[in-house]
Amino acid sequence: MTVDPGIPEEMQSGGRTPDDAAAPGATVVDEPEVALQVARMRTENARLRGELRRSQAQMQRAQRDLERFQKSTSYVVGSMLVAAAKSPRRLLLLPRDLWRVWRLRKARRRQRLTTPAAPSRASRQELLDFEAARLLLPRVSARVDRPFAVAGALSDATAAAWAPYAAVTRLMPHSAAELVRDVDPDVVVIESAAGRPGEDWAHLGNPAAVDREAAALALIDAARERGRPVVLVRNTAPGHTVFLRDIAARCDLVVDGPGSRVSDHVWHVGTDLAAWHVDGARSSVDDCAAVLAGPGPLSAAGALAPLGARPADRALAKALSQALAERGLTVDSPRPGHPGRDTLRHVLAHARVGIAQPLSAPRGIVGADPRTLGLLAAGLPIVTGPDDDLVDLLGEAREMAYVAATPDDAAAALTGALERSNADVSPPPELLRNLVLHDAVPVRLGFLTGQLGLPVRPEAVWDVTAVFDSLDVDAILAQRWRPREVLTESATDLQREALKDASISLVTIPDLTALSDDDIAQAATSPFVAIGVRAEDPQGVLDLLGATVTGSQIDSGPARMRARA
Amino acid sequence: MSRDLRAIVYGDVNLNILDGSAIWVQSMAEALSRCGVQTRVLLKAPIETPRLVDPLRSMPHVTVVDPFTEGRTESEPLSVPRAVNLLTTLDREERADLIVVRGLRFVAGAARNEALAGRLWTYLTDIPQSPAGYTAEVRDQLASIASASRLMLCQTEDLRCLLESMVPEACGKSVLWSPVVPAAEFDLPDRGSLADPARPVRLVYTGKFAPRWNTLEMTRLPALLAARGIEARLDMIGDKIHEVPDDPEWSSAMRAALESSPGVVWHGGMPRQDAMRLTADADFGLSWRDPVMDASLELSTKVLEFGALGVPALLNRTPMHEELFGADYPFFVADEDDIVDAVALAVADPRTVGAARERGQQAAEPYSMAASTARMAALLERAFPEQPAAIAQRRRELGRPPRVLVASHDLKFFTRILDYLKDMPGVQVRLDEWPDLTSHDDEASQELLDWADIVICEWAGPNLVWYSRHKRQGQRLIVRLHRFELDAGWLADVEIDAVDQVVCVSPHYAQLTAERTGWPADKIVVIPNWVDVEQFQRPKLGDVEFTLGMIGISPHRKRPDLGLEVLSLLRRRDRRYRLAVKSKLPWDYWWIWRNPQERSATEEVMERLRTDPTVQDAVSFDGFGGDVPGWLRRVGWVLSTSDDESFHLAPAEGMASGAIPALLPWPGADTIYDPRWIHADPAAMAEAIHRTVSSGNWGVEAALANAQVQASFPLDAVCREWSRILVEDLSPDTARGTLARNPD
Repeated sequence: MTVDPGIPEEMQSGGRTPDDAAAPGATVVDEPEVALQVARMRTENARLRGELRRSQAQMQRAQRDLERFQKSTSYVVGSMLVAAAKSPRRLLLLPRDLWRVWRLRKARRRQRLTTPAAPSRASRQELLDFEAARLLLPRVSARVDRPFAVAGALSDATAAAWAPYAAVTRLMPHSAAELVRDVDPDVVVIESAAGRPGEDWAHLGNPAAVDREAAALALIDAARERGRPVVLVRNTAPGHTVFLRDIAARCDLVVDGPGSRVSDHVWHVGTDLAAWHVDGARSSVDDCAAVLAGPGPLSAAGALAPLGARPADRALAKALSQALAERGLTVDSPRPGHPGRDTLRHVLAHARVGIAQPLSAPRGIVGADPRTLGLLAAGLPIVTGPDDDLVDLLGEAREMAYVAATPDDAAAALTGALERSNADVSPPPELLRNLVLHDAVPVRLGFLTGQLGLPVRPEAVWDVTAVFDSLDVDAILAQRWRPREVLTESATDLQREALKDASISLVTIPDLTALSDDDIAQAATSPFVAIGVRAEDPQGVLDLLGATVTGSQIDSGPARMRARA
Repeated sequence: MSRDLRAIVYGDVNLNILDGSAIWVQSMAEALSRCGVQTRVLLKAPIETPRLVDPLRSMPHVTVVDPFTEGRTESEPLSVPRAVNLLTTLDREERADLIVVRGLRFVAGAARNEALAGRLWTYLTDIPQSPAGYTAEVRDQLASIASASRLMLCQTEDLRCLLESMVPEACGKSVLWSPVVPAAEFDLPDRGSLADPARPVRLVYTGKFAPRWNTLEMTRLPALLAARGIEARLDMIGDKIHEVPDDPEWSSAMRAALESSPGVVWHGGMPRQDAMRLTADADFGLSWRDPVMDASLELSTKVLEFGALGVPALLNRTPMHEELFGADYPFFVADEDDIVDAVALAVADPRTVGAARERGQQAAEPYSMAASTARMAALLERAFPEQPAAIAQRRRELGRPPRVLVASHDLKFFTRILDYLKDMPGVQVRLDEWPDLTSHDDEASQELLDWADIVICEWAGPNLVWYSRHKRQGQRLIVRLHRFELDAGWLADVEIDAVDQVVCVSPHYAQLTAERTGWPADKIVVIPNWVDVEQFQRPKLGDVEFTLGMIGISPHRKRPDLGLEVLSLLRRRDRRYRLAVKSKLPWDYWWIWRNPQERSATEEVMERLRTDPTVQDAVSFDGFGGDVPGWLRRVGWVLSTSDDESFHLAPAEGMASGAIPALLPWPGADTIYDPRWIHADPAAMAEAIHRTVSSGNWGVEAALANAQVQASFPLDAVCREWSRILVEDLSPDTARGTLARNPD
């Protein structure tokens, strides 16, 4: 047994019990030691992350102080006097420079006077004692173990979709600013969909609910105090988000999601693929079309367009309703008052086709709603109107979407989808790959943190340790879902370096092939462990991951994936 | 109005330029004129064109004051100080009852003039239209304006809500004064069916030509429709083509498009009635704009004009437009494709046009001159109440106006009645404001008592003890008793023989008062609390039937825990139910928070909020303030779960707002509210709420509740009772039965 000087001695020997005996074959690095190392690394990782966060905040505060000082009139005037003393030319220019400083100072003062007062309940806060604050504020998110912490004004659907992958704290308008100081998340998100009626921030963005906007502005101020970035996700209609312009102006990043106007930052909150998984085969006896109700109430019984639908969608919805009725198909949708996976799965298990909501995304409007992607993830062929984003996403799996460009096409599109439908609850492999790579929640969150330049990786919840008998670095680097860690029996320095360059850590375990899957899983540090993958198949890790996180059935031969507790 | 009223109108606008603000002056003067108010309109600039001034001069009761030809001033146009100065001069010459003013800079100046304070009717559109614009400086300025104003006239409901939320002084005095649509001086034409292939579909646009108005894009519509096989013609009326500094080519491109686009007929500028006549011939009116314009809180008069002329408008979907036309209005559009789709849909199914036309006409109706005149008449009636006959009789007997003294340490429940008494002609009102419940200036009180004919003690506190012991023979003494006084010891010291009438707010408390004090029952009468129904009648926001509201949850006898229980029971059935709380919290009141029982009860409520998944994240605390009418727009149910109340105004305010009240049976609740709204316990309340919502009956029940509150305790009726009691005793029968009335 090797001795690690970084681990207390009692943990290396005295703390062991007979049950901690080394795994067969693990002669160089025995299993308990790996576990200890892992534990130590995790602790260290958490400590470093915390320290980094604190350091960054300190640095930002120091930078701000420095900037403030450098901008201060005393500093500027002092610098000028020093420069004038050193240079006769600067001395000549001193009166002009001082006059400029005076003007700038005056302008700054004026600006300060006209800068909006933080519309917070300041007077009330002054009166709050600690006990009262303790009573008002809810407890922080339960998933503190997640690599990424987000807090914000979130819709029910988004909070539910993100919860399995991140430490999510839903903020309420009355306590948002106070709570964000306590939670200190990596990112604060304000989602315009959270302002829909019935949501936590109901009526945010409605000019009649000024208090909501004031609460959002106070939240932004509080996040800034902590040095946390704020993202505005606009995923409601432009007529709604236009009232969020003052909020947008204060956010670090504004992204546009489904329903909003196309901009330079198109993004959606992602689909929780696991939520759309249906256990077992789909019932073939029910003649039912699944429709995932849109943001508003449906306009009439059986109609497929929400009240706010655009003219083209209404015409299409009418034609589609007629086509469904002619085929004796009923429309089922989870009851809006009963959110949750069970009701969703019930609908998915009995549906033959899915119907996109909204039906179409017109030019200039972001499409590909996460719910429509969810229908596809459930293996349902879908009927949709024109939606360029969806078509792009589907790529080679286009046969899963039946597009009705006009009302005249509705019947044919439905027929096509019905013919394609079967009892299979898994989407075609290429579609699933695309969903995992581009539209799953961890990936979307990763994109967001990337845009913000944050040193956190939400997608780490799907990190994979891949186990290879022999090491083929090129094949590993060609994997569409690259493992973050590779376990193998031996490696050359060159191979080690190549993988390190790609941020893939390498652990060599002699006699790896002799280890059981359980032992291998213990040796790995990633949440998922891929065993038996053929390195030369670039889809190998991706397919295993996709099947695991969605519960889909795939023919993977001897390859298998273990999720680590 | 039987009373002769005098008004001065000053818009701080140049009436030579035909724009919205100039039209506003004209329509305001016309509305006042139609109400019989003697109105002087002060001009800001010398007359260059009589286009707007001549119609003003032709209105009955309206005088145009031209300070330039009358030699009142040499500066032109009027500066703000000069205009304020002139206004005060005009007022000195002949005192005005109301002074209607517009324009922030001018109004700020006028508000600083003490001589005008309290008589300003202020109309502002040039104020920040979002909360971020309300700096401390802006708030202070608007607070001073609101304090000096009798009424704040707001163009739209959203603007009113914004103002009330940002400027507490505007609460209670902000009323709607919407744009006025001129009546067509011709019969509306019969356009024939859209499905008739022999005629083109006609679109119309009137107004300025500017990028944000999408006018250049509009010129492509006939061609786009032609590509879909629909022949179309677009009439464009107007001669103002904007120069765009960032895009110097834009105006020439616009002009070229107007002159040469296929299917576009450009008519240039036209007199208003001619433009309306041409508009009325069209099948659709275009009011499609750049989305940046969607954030405006102002209402386009063009949209209303289309509606009045029976021309369906193609326009952006905004909260305001949804409110106006309904969320399911078929002609909301976002781009050219939508417009083409919408027209194609209408051609395929012309019934949609008929329905939209009706919707537009209904939407425009409240903005007609007739409706605006009625609105003005109601405002005048409220602001300048008639003198009741009994008061006039008393005045004749006294040979002078009766003198009313109101003595109280806390007037918050009496403000509107006090306003009413002050506004009533032929009555003089003075106040004896006690700094707190028990202390006052003996000498000052005595002096006021010597002056008064009638004394009203608001609250039966030590003020009543003092006045009952000091009043002289022949003086009338009236007291209003609320609730807490019954538990106080001082009532035994009241000389009840000196008291003429004891007013309670509910029959239950009248009975309790009689039982606990032993005072003669024939002196104890009931005048209910009042609800200013007009202030609360505002359009609801979306999904309100799932939102419960509680107004005031402190102290714990208001039983927020029971409200939470109702919510929990409801959310077990449907997760869309939420609870909104408008209240200070217990720790905001030192006298509540120092009580260990209160703290413990609060801890329990908050603990449940944190730990019970059925209510977690389902309750919002929306603060405290006077903006309750605006807040109630998001509430569908107002709960009253208290252990004890003398009246509990919250359910009544909810009813006035169009929400449904839901009460637990606190003692006396059934003497104020219809038993149909009173439920045995939280479970029964939750059951009733869910039954109503799930059966789709929320709207019907809410309408009934609204009708009931209007029949039971509207402000006007309550004020009339107060004017009666000044001079005559009310019947003790008022203290029996229930206050709840069903509409006739």
